[in-house]
Amino acid sequence: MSKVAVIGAGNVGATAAYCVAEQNLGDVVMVDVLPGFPQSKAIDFLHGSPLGRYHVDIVGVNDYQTIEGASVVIHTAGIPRKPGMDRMDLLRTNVNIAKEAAKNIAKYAPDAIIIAVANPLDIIATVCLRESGFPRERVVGMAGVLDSTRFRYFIAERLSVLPQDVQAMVLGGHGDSMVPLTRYASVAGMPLGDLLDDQTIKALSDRTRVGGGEIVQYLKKGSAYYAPGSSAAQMAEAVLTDEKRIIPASAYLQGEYGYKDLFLGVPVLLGKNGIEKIYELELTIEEKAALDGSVEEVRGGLSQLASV
Amino acid sequence: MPRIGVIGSGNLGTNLGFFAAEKGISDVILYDIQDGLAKGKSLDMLEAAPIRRYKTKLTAAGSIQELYDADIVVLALGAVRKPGMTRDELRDENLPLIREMASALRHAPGIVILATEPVDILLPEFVRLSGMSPRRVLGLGGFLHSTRLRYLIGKELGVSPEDVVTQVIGRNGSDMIPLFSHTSIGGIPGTILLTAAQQKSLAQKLAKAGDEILELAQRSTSYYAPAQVAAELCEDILKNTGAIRSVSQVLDGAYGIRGVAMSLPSRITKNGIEEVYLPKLTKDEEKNFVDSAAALAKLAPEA
Repeated sequence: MSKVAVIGAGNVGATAAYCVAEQNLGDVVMVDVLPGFPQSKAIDFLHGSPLGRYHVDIVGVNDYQTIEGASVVIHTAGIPRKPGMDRMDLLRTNVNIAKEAAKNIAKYAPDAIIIAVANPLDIIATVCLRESGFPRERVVGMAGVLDSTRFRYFIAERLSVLPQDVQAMVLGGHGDSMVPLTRYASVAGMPLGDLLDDQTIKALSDRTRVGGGEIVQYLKKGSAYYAPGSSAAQMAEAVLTDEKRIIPASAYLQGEYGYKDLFLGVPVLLGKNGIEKIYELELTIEEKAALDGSVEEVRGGLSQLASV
Repeated sequence: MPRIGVIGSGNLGTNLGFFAAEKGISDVILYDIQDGLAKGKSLDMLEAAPIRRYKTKLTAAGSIQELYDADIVVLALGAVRKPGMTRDELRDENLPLIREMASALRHAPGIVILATEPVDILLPEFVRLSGMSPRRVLGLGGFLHSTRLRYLIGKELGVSPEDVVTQVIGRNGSDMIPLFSHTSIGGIPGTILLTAAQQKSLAQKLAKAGDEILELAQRSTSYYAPAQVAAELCEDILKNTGAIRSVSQVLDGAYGIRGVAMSLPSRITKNGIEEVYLPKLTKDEEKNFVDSAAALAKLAPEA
């Protein structure tokens, strides 16, 4: 049985762990700094296993050693922003958590594929890449899948069709400047533009950009975790079962789309070796300009990283 | 499509919504008194639908009235224990909430699953005030502990928990009564495969299972397994399966007990509790059962 490590046992991490376990994709190790916390979730999952019909091993631990031999590591650990907290302090804390995680992943799971989930995503992915020393194929950020599943749901809701029938992709960084690629969106193969007018498509695309924020507004405290956890698990599944899925994910670009040395959401082929291919789509001038804007935002984040 | 209404969008209520969505057995409607909470949670689950591939309609209700005629209403609201607390200590805090629910759901046509603690103490009060048939009001309890015991026995013997069938009865909490005499492991009686010492140690582990999670987590009680159990019960009801589950219910003469609620194996159908079974108990088991009933009677709220 393969092993999947989930760093951070908060709601996103635990939901990802549950989805991995529920599909019997691999044994699950949840790592969290809080004593007792990941253990409690592991036991709770196990108690449900006779009904959930999963038969994988699930453990919660407070050390990294137990991730030894993991083939996939999902990094979700980080602290949420508390009221009054300085953005740079928050960044510093979460970057340091990612640094420690990445070093330990390199030590105990040197062959793993890292799926970065913690925010700010594009920066945390960069930290994971640098500190692990892994080749770029083996560090991938979870953003596009989540943004795309939201976009797909919003389109499906608008058209009253089954969400699985909607294909849509979101490129760029995982911030407000993300680029929903509306031109390629389709519903059961039919171009979205044939089904909805430009104004409606723009509204759906705008809603996608602030999809995470919409949930936060409703919840007041806390943020989304069902869609994010499911998204991370889907990427883990693609790697573990060598599915060769074409999904939007944050990849470290080396000239693709004309960008270098940064993580950006692009369509990739995900399989057992991690990112096995990056698809370079031809973009319109407007799309390229939007992507440039997103890159600028990511670069802004990276310059902050330099001063952490 | 049938409808499940879930009142309370905390960990238990929302995970129940998620598991029910994954099962695809009904529409799911969440409600929480905190404005926006149910809406945010249901939207998050909907946004996962393209990936998790469920086709379930998830919505948030603006009021409890919208849930009144749901096929099943799950009460998952109220305070949960903090470390060191007993379930009974939640009585005074959660009693007014359950009374309020009973009045909102008076003579409701569906089936109610009560998950708010202390289940066995609040359940008779809910039945009395709601005017619902006691057959249509089920409390979470024995089924959760039976599921945990299945896992523990499976682990102890190194066999799949799916092959383990067992019943845990009595009062929800550490004095639940595991019936090893009513345990079958792949068709082999549990009393043959488990030594007396193993049974004793399993019973001790089971008694501490919920507390262990609370002590470890500090900030929350268990909710994944409870939510799975509640979702399974919903499926049994909606699909009219006739599954035999140990659920809490107002007893009507079982082992000479009347008026208090405890868990006993029951056949679950679209009507709720179709039939209750009275397992043949040993003297000790029966004494424990009767003692629990006496303790519960003392804790019953004044009308």
